[in-house]
Amino acid sequence: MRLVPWMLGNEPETVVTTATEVEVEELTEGSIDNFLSAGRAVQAELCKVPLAARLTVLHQLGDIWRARSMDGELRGVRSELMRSTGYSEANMDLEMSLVPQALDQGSLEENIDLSLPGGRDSTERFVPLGRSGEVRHLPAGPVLIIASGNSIVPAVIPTALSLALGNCTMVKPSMANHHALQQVFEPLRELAYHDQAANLMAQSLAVAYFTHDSPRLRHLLSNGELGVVNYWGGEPGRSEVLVRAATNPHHPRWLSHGPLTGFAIIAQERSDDRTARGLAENMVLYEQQLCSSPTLGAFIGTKDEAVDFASKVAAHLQEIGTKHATAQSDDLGFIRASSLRIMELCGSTVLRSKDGSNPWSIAVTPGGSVLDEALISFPAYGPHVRRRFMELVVVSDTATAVDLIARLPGMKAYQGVDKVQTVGLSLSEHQHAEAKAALLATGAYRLVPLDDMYRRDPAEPYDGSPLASLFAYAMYHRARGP
Amino acid sequence: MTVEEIFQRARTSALLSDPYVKKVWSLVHEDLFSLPPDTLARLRKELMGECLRFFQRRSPYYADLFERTGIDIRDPDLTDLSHIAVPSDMLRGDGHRRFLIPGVEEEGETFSSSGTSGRAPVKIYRSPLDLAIMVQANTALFEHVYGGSLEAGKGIALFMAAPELRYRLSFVAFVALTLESKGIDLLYGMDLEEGRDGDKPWTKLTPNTSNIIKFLKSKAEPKLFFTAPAGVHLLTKKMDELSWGKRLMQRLATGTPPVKLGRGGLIVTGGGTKGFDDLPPYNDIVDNARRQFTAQERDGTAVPAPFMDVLGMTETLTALIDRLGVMAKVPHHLSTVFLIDPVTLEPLEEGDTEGLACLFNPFVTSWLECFYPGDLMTSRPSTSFYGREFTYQRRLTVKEGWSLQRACGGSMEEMMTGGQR
Repeated sequence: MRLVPWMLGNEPETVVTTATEVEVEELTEGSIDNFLSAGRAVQAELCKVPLAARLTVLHQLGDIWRARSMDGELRGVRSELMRSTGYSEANMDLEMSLVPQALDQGSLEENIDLSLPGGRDSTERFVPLGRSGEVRHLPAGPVLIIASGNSIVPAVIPTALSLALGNCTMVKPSMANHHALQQVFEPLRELAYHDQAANLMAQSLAVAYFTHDSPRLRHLLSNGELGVVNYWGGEPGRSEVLVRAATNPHHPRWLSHGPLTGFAIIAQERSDDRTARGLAENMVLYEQQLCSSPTLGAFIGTKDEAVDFASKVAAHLQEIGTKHATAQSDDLGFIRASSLRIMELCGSTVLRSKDGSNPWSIAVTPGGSVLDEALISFPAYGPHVRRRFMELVVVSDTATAVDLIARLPGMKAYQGVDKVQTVGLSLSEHQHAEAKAALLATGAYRLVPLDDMYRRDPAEPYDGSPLASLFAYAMYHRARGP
Repeated sequence: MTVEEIFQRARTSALLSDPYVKKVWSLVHEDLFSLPPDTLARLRKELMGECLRFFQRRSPYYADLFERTGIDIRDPDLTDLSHIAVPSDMLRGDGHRRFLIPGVEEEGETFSSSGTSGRAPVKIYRSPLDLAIMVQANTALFEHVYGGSLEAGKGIALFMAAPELRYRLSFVAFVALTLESKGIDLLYGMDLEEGRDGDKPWTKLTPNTSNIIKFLKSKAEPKLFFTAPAGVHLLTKKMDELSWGKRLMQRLATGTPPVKLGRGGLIVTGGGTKGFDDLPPYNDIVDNARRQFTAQERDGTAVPAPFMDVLGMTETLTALIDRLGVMAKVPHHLSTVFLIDPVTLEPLEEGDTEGLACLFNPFVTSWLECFYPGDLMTSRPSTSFYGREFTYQRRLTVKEGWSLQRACGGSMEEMMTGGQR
């Protein structure tokens, strides 16, 4: 396998290096500097193109992706991603179907409108702001996006927004999504022949992989003429990238999106079959590797009621999971089985599948989580290994459920995870209001219905802040005093 | 505690008033090896149910566990046992405590694993009654595999361990207590040295030359040599490499090589090969050693030095023992040993398939001793008392999720390299 950078025009100068049996063509320091310095001029040109035209190009990329998927042209990309992520075929099909949504013109417009004071018009002209001022948003780039590893969509979202806002954008994908991400933007080459916006956007984009310890990447972070660094991922990469970006003489803005997880709160009153199915779906989708995936839950009720609910979830996991067949290595099978055994010996009632292609499990634990007990003996049973797994902790009230969320970052089982991003709720009206107030103190970013945890509204902020505002800076103008 | 003190305390144990404990206490004192394998299998099945019911009566923890896991305590089978088997890794640190019955009898001893993996060692508490059962059951098994009783007061033993390990490693304890109960002299071939390097305390094992020479020079019979496989390998190698002159000098000083183990003499290994990547296969170690160690049958007929190997872990009260060329590893006749699937932890059909060994010792009274130590084994039918024999394959690796190392071997083999490895 060879990873080659994607850029428009003449082939850039590269250096070949290897990383875990993969050959990587890395952009040289000269190529990086040339791209970034030309990028500022291209940004200025791109800003002259109406936002609607830029968004149309992105929308077209989505349409082309959909058509290519239907024609079977992206079968290779699909299999490659399945291999690298371990996701099921059905999951990969869902993932690929979401790419056009991430590039949807209407969604991007809504996102920009809600993210920038003055809305999308402020990207083209000064618009009134406050009592006597006005504001114009301009590209904050060049932008460097270091994209997360698992799938395509999380890398497409910031790239699309950055390009839409007129930024020269360099994306460092992961090894897993490198090829797929290039395939999303590849049609820009063709569109560039007859569309000015597409041409400028193509000139503004580079998708290039660098190894973690690459001197070229160090140069890019420490000296590259960057305006923004957006990092998606966890430690130790996050801190290393931050330290380098902090010493960059061009003082780029910095925003990281660390690893987060989801948490489910279910009350006995709302533990019907629909809720059970919703929870099961969210546990199977993306193998709980999304920041919104429910990986731990609280059940407000009695232990027996929780076991009843778990049985309903189990039935749905069996059905849904069969459609999302996966592969489990023997090593992981042993770690999983032994970890579940420990939880059982520590007080959990465990429901589990013995089918390696659908290895779901639910542990119902009264009186507090015992997941860490398993981690003490089997540290390998970490968040990336726990798939289709849920510990439902039986609690007596909302406050205790919320307390579990606050304590999650300190758990051994969540080492490497920053905190809870999404809380999926299935509560009575009164409990819902109570939880909404109590959750204000937990730092969680999203409170959504349990059966809908993975779905993201275009208007939603990303991990607590509007992503579009990272890629644009505001120029404020006031002609006279108040 | 001396072996006498252990038995004295065991005999006054309040638990002996429980009919189940009374039964197992009586059974471990009986010689049942001559019973047909089927009869013993039925006895084990009977004990399985009685044992589970004993723990259900004695401990709310087990009552709850059986209920949650759906264990059929009226007529449990291997599947039921496999559903409550404890992964040994869970017994690190204070992990054993949760399994002890309420009011467990005090004044026992605690054994631990070597702790060489850098994590907290496995620690197991043994009550005086359990210690007495340990001595009784292991001695019976040892003698059965050895091929006869160890005669009281006859012979001498050398254990390549330090005396301090008697109170730390269960294998050393069981050997020491067994020999003590038989009145056989036991010499420790190693010394434990302690020191400090700045703030860090260290311990290392160094050979006790005086005891080793005493053993080599002794005219007592039989000579029993207890060691890790690496111990006998290194000793053989050392003797192999002696120049003609040095060999002569050593012969004059100690009467060896060869080391004459005498009538009924044998070498007992234990602890596996942990820490030695370059150790030859076990059979090669034996072949080489037989050039430097000689032995005779009890009637005086010369035979290749017999080798027995003990598979023990801190968490098992009784070991599995084999005798090379005679029988593969067998457990105590009251213990249930079976193989489970490493992925599902369900019992495997009896056959040649490799599986994780799962051990259940129904005669342990302080906790329900049913666990899997991470050892892959195979089993085959046998005409021996147990009906099956087991062959050790390997321990699971850290990559496979298992970080616990073979228990006694760690410490015993470290001593062969002066704690340098």
